[in-house]
Amino acid sequence: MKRLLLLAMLLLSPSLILAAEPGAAPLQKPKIPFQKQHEVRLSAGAWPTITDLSLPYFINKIDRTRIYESPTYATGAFTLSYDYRFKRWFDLGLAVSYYGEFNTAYSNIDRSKLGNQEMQFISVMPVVRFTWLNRPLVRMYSSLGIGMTVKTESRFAGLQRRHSRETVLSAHATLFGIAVGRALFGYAEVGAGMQGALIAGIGYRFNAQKRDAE
Amino acid sequence: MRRLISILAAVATICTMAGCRTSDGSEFNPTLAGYTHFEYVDKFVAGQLPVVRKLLLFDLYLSAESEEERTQIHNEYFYTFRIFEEEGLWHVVSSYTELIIDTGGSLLADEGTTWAFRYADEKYDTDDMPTITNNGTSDETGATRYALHVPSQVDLLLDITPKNTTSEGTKTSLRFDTCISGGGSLTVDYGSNHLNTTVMTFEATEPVHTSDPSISWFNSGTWSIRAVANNFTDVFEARYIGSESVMITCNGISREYCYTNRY
Repeated sequence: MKRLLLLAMLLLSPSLILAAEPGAAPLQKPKIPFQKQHEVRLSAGAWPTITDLSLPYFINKIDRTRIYESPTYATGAFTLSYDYRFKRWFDLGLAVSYYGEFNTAYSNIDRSKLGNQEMQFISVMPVVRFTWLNRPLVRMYSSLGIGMTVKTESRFAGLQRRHSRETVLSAHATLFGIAVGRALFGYAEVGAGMQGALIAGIGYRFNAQKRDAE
Repeated sequence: MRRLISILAAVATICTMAGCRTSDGSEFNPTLAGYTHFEYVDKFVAGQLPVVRKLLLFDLYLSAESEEERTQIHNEYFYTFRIFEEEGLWHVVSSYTELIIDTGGSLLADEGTTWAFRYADEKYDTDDMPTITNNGTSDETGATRYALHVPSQVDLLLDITPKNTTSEGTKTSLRFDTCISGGGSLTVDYGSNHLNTTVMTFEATEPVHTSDPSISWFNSGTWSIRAVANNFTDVFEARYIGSESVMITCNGISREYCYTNRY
């Protein structure tokens, strides 16, 4: 719940700052000379949408009865991305994401510990970003990425450890994203896909505008 | 320095927010494999009984003393079926199934009679047809004992008592109260890779009962089940507790499973 509130505050705060007072004179758009930029971002996302690639023997009905499992913990989806801003409204970049789930398997026959189980996903995807609101401190955008995800899985089927590795197409769409800051900035996104449904992160712009245009 | 600390704090906060517990895990349960096997045995045995009911009704049809009575039985139990005799075999045909019965010219109600039968579209493990034999009537219970033999699958003894029941406001209906003893075997392939082929043998250590195989589940009795696969041999007991739950006992540990929504 705390996490949701924090995210909501993060998402709402810029819109409150930007909201104009009723009756106030319309603000003049500040003119910022466009400069091509590099951007590096690091984010963490909650609730990624993961394609289930389980092999048949992993979902075998009787094998599942041989073990019991500890609670499963997820790392969250971490994404490191690089973007190049070609135009005021258009970025092209590459994102690398990681997501993992971990738990422990025990024998349903004698309670003995069998070992740790893990499921890890690494995806690489080119991303296009469309910035539809540009302000000196605030940018709002949407983005779309399509790429590949490699899943490695190590878990117990019956009482034997099985390993698998598979590669599939994956995607991520950001419906709404907001970035606040200048060279160093924080950002939050709402979307769906490998990088998570709710995302927060920090980024750094090279050749960024140091001062707002007066 | 302040900026670096801020960045690290932000990163730490974000990482903490993203990680979470995605499932609660499960608890130690050595009876779970037994319950999984039991579901197959229960379904398999239940699947053998509808044909028995149909054979008993067909026997009623054949034993009708008048054409009028036969028509009445046909209308009540075989309204959507076409029944005819061809080359000494009876055919009970609906839009979906065709049951072929070799009565040998005898009524199943007569002690010692054996009927052979098969569904036209069903594949059996051998060329031998399944049979049902009337082994006589028990003086104690009044039930007629039938031996059901499906080659390389089951040999069940069925103590069946026909009962006319009348619910308030509805017409009388015929039920076949059935107690099962004996046993059988079946093979289940749990995986698509054939690594988990399991052979189950089962036997009723207490008669397994249903008030009518076509309208209710088994509600009492006990199966002793042995399931053998590549790496495992499971030996356990499944005892029906009413028609909605079953107690699975394995290595001295028991657990009750509810299965109101089965199959």
